[in-house]
Amino acid sequence: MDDPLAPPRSRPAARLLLAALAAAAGYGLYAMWQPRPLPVDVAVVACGDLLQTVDEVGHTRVRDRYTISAPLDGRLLRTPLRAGDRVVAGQTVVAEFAARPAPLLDARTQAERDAAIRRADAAVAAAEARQEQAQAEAGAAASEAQRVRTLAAEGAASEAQREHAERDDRVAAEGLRAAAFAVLVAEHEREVARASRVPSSLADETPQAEPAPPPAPLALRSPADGVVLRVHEESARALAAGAPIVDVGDLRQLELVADFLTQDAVRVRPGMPVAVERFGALDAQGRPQRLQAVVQRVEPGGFTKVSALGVEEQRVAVVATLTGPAADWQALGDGYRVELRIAVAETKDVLRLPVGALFRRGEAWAAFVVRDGRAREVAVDVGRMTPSLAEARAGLSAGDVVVLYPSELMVDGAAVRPQ
Amino acid sequence: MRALATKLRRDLRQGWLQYLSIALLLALGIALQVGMHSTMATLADAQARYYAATRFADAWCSLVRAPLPVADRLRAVDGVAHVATRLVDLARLDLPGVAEAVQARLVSLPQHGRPAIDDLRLVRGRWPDPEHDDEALLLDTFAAARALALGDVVRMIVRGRACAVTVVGLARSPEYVYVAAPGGLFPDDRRFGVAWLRERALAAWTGRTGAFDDVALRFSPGADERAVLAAVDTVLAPYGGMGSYARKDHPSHFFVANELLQLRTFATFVPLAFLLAAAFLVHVVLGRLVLTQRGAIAVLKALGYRDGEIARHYLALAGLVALSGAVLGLLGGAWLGDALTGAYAPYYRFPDLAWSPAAGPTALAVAVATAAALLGALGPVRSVLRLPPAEALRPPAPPSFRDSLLDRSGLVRLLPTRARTVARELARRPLRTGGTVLGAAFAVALVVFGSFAYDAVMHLLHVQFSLSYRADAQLRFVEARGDEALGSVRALPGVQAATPLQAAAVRLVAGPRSRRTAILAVPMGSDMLVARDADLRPIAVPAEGLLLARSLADALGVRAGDEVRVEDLGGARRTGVATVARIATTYVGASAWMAPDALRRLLGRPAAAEGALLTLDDDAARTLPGACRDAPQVAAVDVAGSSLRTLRDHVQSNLFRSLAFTVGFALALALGVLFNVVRIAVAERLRDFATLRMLGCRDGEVRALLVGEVAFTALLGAPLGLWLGQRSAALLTSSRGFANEQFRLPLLVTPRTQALALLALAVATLLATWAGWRRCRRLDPLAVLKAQD
Amino acid sequence: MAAPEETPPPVLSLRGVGKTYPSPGGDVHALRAVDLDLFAGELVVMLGPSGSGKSTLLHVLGGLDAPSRGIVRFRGRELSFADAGRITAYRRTQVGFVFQFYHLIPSLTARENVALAADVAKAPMAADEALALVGLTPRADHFPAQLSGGEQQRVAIARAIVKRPAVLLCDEPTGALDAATGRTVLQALQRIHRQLGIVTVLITHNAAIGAMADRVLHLHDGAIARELRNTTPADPATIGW
Repeated sequence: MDDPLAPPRSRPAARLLLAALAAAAGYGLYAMWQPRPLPVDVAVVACGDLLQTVDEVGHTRVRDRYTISAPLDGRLLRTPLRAGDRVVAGQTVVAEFAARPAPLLDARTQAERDAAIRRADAAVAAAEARQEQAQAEAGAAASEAQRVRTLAAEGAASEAQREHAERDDRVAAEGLRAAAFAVLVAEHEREVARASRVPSSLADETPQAEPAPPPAPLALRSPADGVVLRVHEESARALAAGAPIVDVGDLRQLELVADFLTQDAVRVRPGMPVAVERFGALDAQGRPQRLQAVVQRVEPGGFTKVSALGVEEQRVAVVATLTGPAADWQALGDGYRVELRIAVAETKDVLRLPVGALFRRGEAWAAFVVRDGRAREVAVDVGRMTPSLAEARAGLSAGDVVVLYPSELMVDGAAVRPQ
Repeated sequence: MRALATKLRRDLRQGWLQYLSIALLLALGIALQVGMHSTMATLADAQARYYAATRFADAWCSLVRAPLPVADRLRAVDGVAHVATRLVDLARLDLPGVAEAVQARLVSLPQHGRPAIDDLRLVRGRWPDPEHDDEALLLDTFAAARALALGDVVRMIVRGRACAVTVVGLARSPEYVYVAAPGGLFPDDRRFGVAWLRERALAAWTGRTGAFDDVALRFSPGADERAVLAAVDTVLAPYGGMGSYARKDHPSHFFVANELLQLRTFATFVPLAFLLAAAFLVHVVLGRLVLTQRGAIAVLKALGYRDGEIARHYLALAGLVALSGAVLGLLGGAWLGDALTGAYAPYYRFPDLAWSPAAGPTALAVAVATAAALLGALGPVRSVLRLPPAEALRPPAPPSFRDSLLDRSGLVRLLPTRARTVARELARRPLRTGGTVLGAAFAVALVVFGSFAYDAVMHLLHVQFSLSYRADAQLRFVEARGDEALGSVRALPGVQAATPLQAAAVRLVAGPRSRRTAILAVPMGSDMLVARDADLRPIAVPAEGLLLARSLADALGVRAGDEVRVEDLGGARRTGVATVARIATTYVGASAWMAPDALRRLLGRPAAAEGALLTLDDDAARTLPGACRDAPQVAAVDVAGSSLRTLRDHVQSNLFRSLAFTVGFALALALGVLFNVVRIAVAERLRDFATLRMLGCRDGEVRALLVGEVAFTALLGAPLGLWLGQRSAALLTSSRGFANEQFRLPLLVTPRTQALALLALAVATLLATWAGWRRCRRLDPLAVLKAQD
Repeated sequence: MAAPEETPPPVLSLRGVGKTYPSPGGDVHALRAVDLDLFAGELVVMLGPSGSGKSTLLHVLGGLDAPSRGIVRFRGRELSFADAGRITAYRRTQVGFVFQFYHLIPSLTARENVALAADVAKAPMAADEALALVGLTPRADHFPAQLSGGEQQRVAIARAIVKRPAVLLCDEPTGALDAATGRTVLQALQRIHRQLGIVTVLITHNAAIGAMADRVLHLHDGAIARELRNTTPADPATIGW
């Protein structure tokens, strides 16, 4: 029989329902409280090749460049050649050079010249007179010397007197020789003065004489096959000997040169493959074209260059030659900008991840790996590094998904949402 | 009316807790209103005085270089009252013992005297002597950050040339209230400062004697700003003028104006919620009072009291509540205003920034609060007036449970019995239920509105620095370089990768609208600069065409596929046409991107690299600033990591504080409303509860009814509040203060914010229910039943 | 014998007064064409079953309720119920009310309750004097909650007369009290009536109380059915119910 005074049992169903609702509400609030997953970029760790390169901006140049220059003072005739014209070795005339006619002299110059000749004559006469004087002096000094010598042998003159006289003798003899040479010099100068005399005008010539026909211009021919690279002097003009006229070279013999920092260049060896990029051309698909080349040589001598940042750098030229069919790099001329990437080391089949996923934790490297929607920090043992990829020697496996460029907000265990 | 006054006193004392809580709500509303508005007034006033005292310019223009006589042509422009020419340069400071890069902007002072426009406020020391070329003034906040004092010698490199200046004075300038390094996003006193030197010295050092490269202008009254700026641009175009701008585009002024705008948005809406809640509560409490005192009111009428006298009696009650609320509110407002102003002082650096109460907002606040209280009292008082005494002397009829909407719709059948009671009761008083639900909703909305910014800013930082801009450091050259400099940059210690920082200053024109901006050249396939779409997926820079940020696109009124005219503000000043390829989402920083080749073709010139963006090996990067110090062509290197950390800490502490305040306010609001309503509900149904107790219902059942009512209204208010919160956050993020070309706050209301809001409401509900329950327990059923209504 | 006594004019005079309430179930006629004169110094008791319109008539007499038809005159002048100011002034100065359920302000003491009425009167007596009249001087500072029913009612009476009204209207003053207390209250009423000479109207359903009246009016169904004169009003102490 139920005890009427006992409080009725509470309905367990209602209690349970209430408890369930409260639990649900609590869990709901808890779930809402969790921070939203952070949107992140991710990458997959995979095996691949790691190519370490040294890069530099350089330019193309023709391997053998010939500069045709003026052989002597003269007059260049207008050249018909333009940059890009083909030339054949030994055949194509690249320039025509005419000897310069001697300049006509005007009256004043002529008078000066005549005066110079007269002066030269006078100089010869003076020299000859001087020679005679010297002759006389030499004779007198010699006889005096003999006399004092005799006296000295007899003891009638001192040693000092004998030396004095002998010295005078020698001086006089030298003076005679000098005078003789002076005469020779004066005569020579007179020759020169006479030689500069030219006819003052054509009227000076005998009317009958024909003017000498101008000599045929000197034809300068191309020393090599190729194209004209640059025309230094286009118009006809007078040139001094040695002035450059035309550059020619064979564009098919194109090489690439760039000034690398010496600390990069030490890793370069002849024969290393070079990727040539960003010179502006597009390939058939419209993407920027890339060419292949190979390192020819690393020059032995470095030089100092002030960098764009204003500091001094040691650089050395590295030369590479293009490989592949010439048709590919037809568009490249001489002196065109190229970017060279020399592959200095290639490691095959290593575990790679983007460098953007790595960050320092103390001295060591670490990365965030996405597991079950959360980012977990793992230590990574990094081997070789390029600007974009790094070798993961330990800590990661192929297929791991890593977070790129984790921000300051990323902590171990944060929920992430790969984009 | 002494007896009536005595009654008023006794009535007040009896319900003191309720009246106090209403007064507190009023006080909060007034305090917020007064505090915020007076702070705004103080700041605006200080700014105006500062500007007037220093003859702050109306417009500025940078150019490459012009001879001094060109200034006369500027003076001749219609609308220009004053012109001041200056030399402006960027220097790298060589501070002893400091490895990181520190830069300073060098600005010239007239050779004699003070600047005619954009004067300085000398804080300490003296002005540089015109005879001594090596004397300089330093920005006082920078000097403080770097512990530089008067007499210190500061070495620097300007345009590749090493110089040294002696600090003879510390100054402040309205042009540099907000100072961010060029290319920097946020001000950092430790890394960027300003120094002023006499003109001759600066000109000599930088080889620009007899020339100027910056100009400040003041307009004459009534000048047409646009026309004047256009004329100035025309004059300065041949000298490399980069486009003049007025105050609203000046970063420092914009910073202050923007902050005031944000403050105004808060100050307008938030106090309103409190005042409305207070008015509602006055209505409810007073209504209840009038009801219980029905008989007394009838007696008063029977005794011959005029209607007006009786009404005044009850209005006086509301008035006293309003008065005490106002007094408390004014005190609170003064404290808040002072505290807010103090909090702003370090950022605004206005001289003599001291909070002063603003008469206007104070009077307005008091008037509004009183009006709110009286408005709430209006209803009850009117019912007092309309009460026929004869009817009032009879005991009130039991409340009519006419078929409410609830019953008619049949919804009520869905509920169990007890819930039906609760629902009917709530439906019977739609106004009160509605008011309570709104009160709860406002509280929830307030929490959402006041705290979503935290998550939004964190999201912004993450998107910016983890998804969009991933350079570890930014290096700037003294003069623009071609990209062969990149090789040398890569060779610097710790640099893993480098991308050239190429930007072209342009003006984009689409129809009648135009905007000054800079187009950033982003190499294709770049990892360091990635534009994102609305879903944060990366957008590849198109080979042709412009990528525009949404805010810029909206400002210009263009969409993907539209064409814009691009006027180059540097170089040869060509004009080209570009197609908008796509719209991207960014929150801060750059607004336009293009592929480098496309940009080159558009402008007819390669965009020179002003610097480089670097990713660093943090370990080796420690030596980077040192290496850069030795490179004279490097103007600065900015390592993002530390400034990002500083920024994040700064944001966190600030927002956290405001979050605490917001939640506190919301709790007060919810608690105030719910507590009062519960008290009234208990009072009204004292008889019912007592009867139930007498009938043998256990405590639990009575409690369940009480809790049920409160919980129901809270449950209704919660989703409404979340929706209101979302809408108000949307309003905020679209307001000019939070969505402009400099900075756009993302609209992000996270579940966590919502959970916080719901939690606050739950706490308030529990507390109110507990208070009501306590009252319920204390009643003696017999006494209640015996007592008359 | 001298000239026939001049009948002094009635203090209150009703002519054709009726009151109808609209109600969903059909109009309720609370009063039908009542004609009534109340003279100075008399104590009138109105008897009738519930629903007979006693309270309504009292309310009309006291200016608390406006009649639907008819005229009410006080001291010869018509009471215009439409003019709220005049009717309030009437109530304020000329009418004293005592209710069945006392209707004291619970937050005021006995003295303060009485003072409440005194505050609006033109030439009231002192509150303490009124309380002395009802014999409640020792309880002047007590709150209604501390007073018994009879004491509360006596306070109500003191409140009603403190302003020296012309008319004292009592609606079932003993309705909520037991017999002994009721008699005490009635005694107080009689004492006041005799001392102040106010026209007193007393409504009750208790016929025995009619013994203390000068006139007894029987109301039925909204009209005065019978009028009885009592030459010797009885002492309330002797009334038993």
